[in-house]
Amino acid sequence: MRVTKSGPETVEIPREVRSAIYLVLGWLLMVIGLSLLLGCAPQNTKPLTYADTITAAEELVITAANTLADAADAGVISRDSAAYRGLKESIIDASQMVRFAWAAYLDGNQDEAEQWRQAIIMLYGQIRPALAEIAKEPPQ
Amino acid sequence: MIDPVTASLLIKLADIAIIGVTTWQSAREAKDDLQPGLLELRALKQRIEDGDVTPTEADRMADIVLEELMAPLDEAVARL
Repeated sequence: MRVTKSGPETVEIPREVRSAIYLVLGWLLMVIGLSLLLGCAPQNTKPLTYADTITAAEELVITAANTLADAADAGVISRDSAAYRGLKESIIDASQMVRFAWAAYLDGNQDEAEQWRQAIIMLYGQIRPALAEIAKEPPQ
Repeated sequence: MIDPVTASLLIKLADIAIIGVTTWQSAREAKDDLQPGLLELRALKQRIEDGDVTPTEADRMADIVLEELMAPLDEAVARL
């Protein structure tokens, strides 16, 4: 349909063009369907275990420590500054929590390990904004 | 002999420590200094699998596994 000054006007699409459009649409639908099927198919990935979640928490603290150390090495933050000392103290506390989480898990006490893991995540959440700011700043 | 649950947990964590230390070594491209730790972990794991471990030894092994699990983090913190 085409809208003109004199009102709507119907335009007849040739049959060959319509067939071509249906063919293209059909192929598109098939490709989308196949993509969805392949995307939803079970992948050969290892299921996440509880120990993996402690490893993930440990990796967060490693990242935090490396971010702060890199920033200090690059001169973005002074090792004498209060901000640096505060972040360093928090990271050391978090690393102790990781140790306690692993120790509890090794003792078979997953509940205690989970409490430490949650504490690590919470502490990381508190220092993350400051670390993100430091990581954004150019070296001096 | 240690109980099967402790043995299974130690084996699992030894595996995690082995993977962690191996990945850490690859990232640092400095294999020599940590190779003994890795070898010890593998030997410990084998002994647990063979059932050749007393509860006292299992405690000592748990300490070694814990140290290896903490090794990458301890190194990062040491940079601060």
